[in-house]
Amino acid sequence: MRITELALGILTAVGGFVDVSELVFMSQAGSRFGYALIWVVVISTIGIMVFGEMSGRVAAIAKQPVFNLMRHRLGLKLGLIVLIASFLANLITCAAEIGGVALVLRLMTGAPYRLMALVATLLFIASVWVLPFKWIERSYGLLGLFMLVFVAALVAIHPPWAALAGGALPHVPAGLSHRDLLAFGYFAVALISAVMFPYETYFYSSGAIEDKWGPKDLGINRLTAIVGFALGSLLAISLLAISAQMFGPAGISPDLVGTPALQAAVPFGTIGLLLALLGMFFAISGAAIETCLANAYSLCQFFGWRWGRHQPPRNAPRFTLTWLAVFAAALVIVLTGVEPIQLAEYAVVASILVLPLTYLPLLLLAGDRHFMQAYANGALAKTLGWGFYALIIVAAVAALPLYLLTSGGAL
Amino acid sequence: MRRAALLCLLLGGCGSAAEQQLAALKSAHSIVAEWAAVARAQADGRVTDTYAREMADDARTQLASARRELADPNDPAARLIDDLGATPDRAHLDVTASALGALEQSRADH
Repeated sequence: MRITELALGILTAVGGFVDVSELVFMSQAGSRFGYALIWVVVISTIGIMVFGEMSGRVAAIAKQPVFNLMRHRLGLKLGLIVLIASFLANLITCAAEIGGVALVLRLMTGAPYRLMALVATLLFIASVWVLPFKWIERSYGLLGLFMLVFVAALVAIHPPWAALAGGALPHVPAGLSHRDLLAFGYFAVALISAVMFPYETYFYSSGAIEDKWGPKDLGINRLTAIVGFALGSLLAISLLAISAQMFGPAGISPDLVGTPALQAAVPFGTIGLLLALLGMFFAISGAAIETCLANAYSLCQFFGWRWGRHQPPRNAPRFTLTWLAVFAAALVIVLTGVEPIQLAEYAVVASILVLPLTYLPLLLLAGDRHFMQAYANGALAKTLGWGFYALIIVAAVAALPLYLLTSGGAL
Repeated sequence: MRRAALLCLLLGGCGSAAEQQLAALKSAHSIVAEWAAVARAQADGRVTDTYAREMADDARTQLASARRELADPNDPAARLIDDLGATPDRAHLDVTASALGALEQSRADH
């Protein structure tokens, strides 16, 4: 039973790893810079493993989700600023995901985009209303495994494996112009943000509390965070690597959400295309639900309202109203006609600005022996945690200037 | 990306007009190349007709948006886009993608 739980947890993490921002930025980064940004994905993945494991451990031992910590550690005023900023970042992300799902549905059925956005939102509301927490997470995560067709596609197109592996070593390509250097920096920051989105830790730690994790679950937590995110990252790297080989030489920097699906269609034909579209549909849908619930968790935890999907919707009315309102607001944003790719770009920049304040209270509490006792951060977790925290601060400081100087990577 | 370029200009002109035109040209080149890739895949029977039709619709919309930012009607890139029309064939898409790519390269080098 424990092995089944573990396998399901890992597979869910793999299937749920990729969202619309990763689809867009991995494809664009690969097209523009070949394999040269793979090392950024590898480092960011280690970062999300470190903070994901930490947030699960804190939830299991101190029974504290991220936003409880935030209010206590940052104080009401600064905590409120972080709450508002992360709420907006998550809302934009949720809108980007709903728009992405609507586009994928349109590519499968030919039905109008706005109608598909409405259908997708109603489907998400029904899923959250009806399914128990564990099965919301698992059904979308497991069905997101259709995305593995991209890993198969990478193998099928026979990439230059040595060059691909070389991309995992930290480096900046030689001979880049000033403009390309700035764009390289912008994509590096965007990939860090896309892999380490703050909603992932809000959702992960709140989920751990929903599932009533305790010390006995720490092994599952560690393995899920390490193995699940590592395999998910392989999927993301596949998107980048296929794009480097297939799109870069053709001058394509995917501006359309549906373009990455071509990566599977070229080697495998219509079956590959349909598997890719299904994978994209479930993976992006899972992310839409996670971002929406992350906002409801954050707001309720911050103000001390009753929260959670482990109880019927009427027993946590403010929580229920919040996630319904977030879905509605995200749908309204999509219906205004803003392109999902544009929203994804705003989302990654907004998210990286929020990340330092999200992870600081987590780092402080995970290292606090008063709360965590024997489960407090050891030397390795401390070193990695503060090391990645420094990286996040550098990325957050550089994000907005790089976005503006490169016109969102367009130059 | 195009809205980002506009935002950039509004926030203090961090990119010159020439850079914004280059961004629009890059975007147009990429979109036409994507459209051509989809048309090739459709001709090979590798994608469904629905997918190809909807992707072409998206490409038309995005290309029109990029075209609006190429303000000079005598800009060769603008003329190439105008010549494409609404339903270009595969060969026309390939030729236009190559021509836009060459223009992008020469302007980026300056």
